[in-house]
Amino acid sequence: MNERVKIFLEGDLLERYLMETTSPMESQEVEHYIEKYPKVKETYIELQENLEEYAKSFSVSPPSDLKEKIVSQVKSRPKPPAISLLAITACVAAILFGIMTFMIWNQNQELLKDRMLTTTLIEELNEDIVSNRETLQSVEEQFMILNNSSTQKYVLRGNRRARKLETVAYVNELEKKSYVHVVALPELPDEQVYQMWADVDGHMVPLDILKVTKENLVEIPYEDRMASLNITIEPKGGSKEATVDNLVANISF
Amino acid sequence: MKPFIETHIVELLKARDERAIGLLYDHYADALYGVAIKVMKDEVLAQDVLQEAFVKIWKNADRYDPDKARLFTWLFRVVQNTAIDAVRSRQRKTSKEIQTQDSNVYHIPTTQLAIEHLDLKAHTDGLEDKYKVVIDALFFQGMTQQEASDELNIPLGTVKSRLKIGLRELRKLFGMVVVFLML
Repeated sequence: MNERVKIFLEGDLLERYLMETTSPMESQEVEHYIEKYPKVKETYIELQENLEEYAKSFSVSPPSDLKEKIVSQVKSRPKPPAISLLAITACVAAILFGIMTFMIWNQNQELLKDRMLTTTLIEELNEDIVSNRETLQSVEEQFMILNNSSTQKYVLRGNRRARKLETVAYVNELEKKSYVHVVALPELPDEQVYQMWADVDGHMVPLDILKVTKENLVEIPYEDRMASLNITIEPKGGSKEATVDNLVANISF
Repeated sequence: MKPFIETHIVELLKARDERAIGLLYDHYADALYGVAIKVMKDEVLAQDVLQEAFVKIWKNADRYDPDKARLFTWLFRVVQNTAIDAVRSRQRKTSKEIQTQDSNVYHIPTTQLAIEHLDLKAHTDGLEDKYKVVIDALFFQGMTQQEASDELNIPLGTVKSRLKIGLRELRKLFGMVVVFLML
């Protein structure tokens, strides 16, 4: 006999399995042995036969009316349906609950998306409002400057090196503010720019690099005692000292 | 090989055919009633247990797995468990009375053994008492091996070996009965 089977049969697992006092794990082990080893199966059958014979040795005839009582009691019980109504109800409820949960989740996702979209729109609108206010304020300021009687208008036109250049400068000595409106700038190579200068006490003071912008007026630094405004062509990024040879426009006050 | 009647009853049970109950009763009621009496030590209570056990058998028929146990083993377990539950339930209700007047609570059964089982009874009587008390404690009183060890005041290892030897001895005794009947 297989040594493992011998050890197994010498133990009391099979007897305890017969008495249903084994743990679920022990029951699994016993069932494995019964299935795998014919000797164990044979012994288990023998044990059951022993139990049956032993129990039968105590047989007693029950009262004659007991059978009728038992049969009628069993018959009066409703037959359990293959699948109980409770189980069906529970399944339906679980499915409905699942569908509803999914729908609510889906709806929640849509609402979250809508909320994010709305938040973004509100933020954009707020930004627009701020931007519009700033623009309005700028336009109002420009309007006030342009309509101020102490504002002087100077038109700078390009020489033969930049015939198409046209820039208007507005200078208000009382307010100490200067603005330029770049109307047109001839194209330059990428490495060159137009730079504006103020002639102050015989020195060229750098003001700003000119660009064509959407805005009508661009504020530039104001300098006291400006004798003239000048535009030169300078290397990209601008210069600290004006290249007088590259002067393309100027106007004296 | 399983007897034809056992296979037939199982088929009826699985098919929820009520004829199964009548057949079960005809073939197993005597033995199961004897088991109930042995546990309950009272005929009236044993009848209640048998009635309740049959209802459970019918109700839980789909749980019976013929590959795991013979039909009688399963029926025995249902009756044994029902009876032990009933005893414990009564013990909880009347614990004081049981402790002081045990003999007044249970009545000694007066019913005679079924005649057809008298031979078997005679042969099980041939089993030594030391084996019988262990088998009875484990199979009829629903004790664990440890409880039987404590109750009978014998070591746990002895309980195990007496159960094993007792069941083996029973086999021998029943073998003699079969030979005797064949002769």
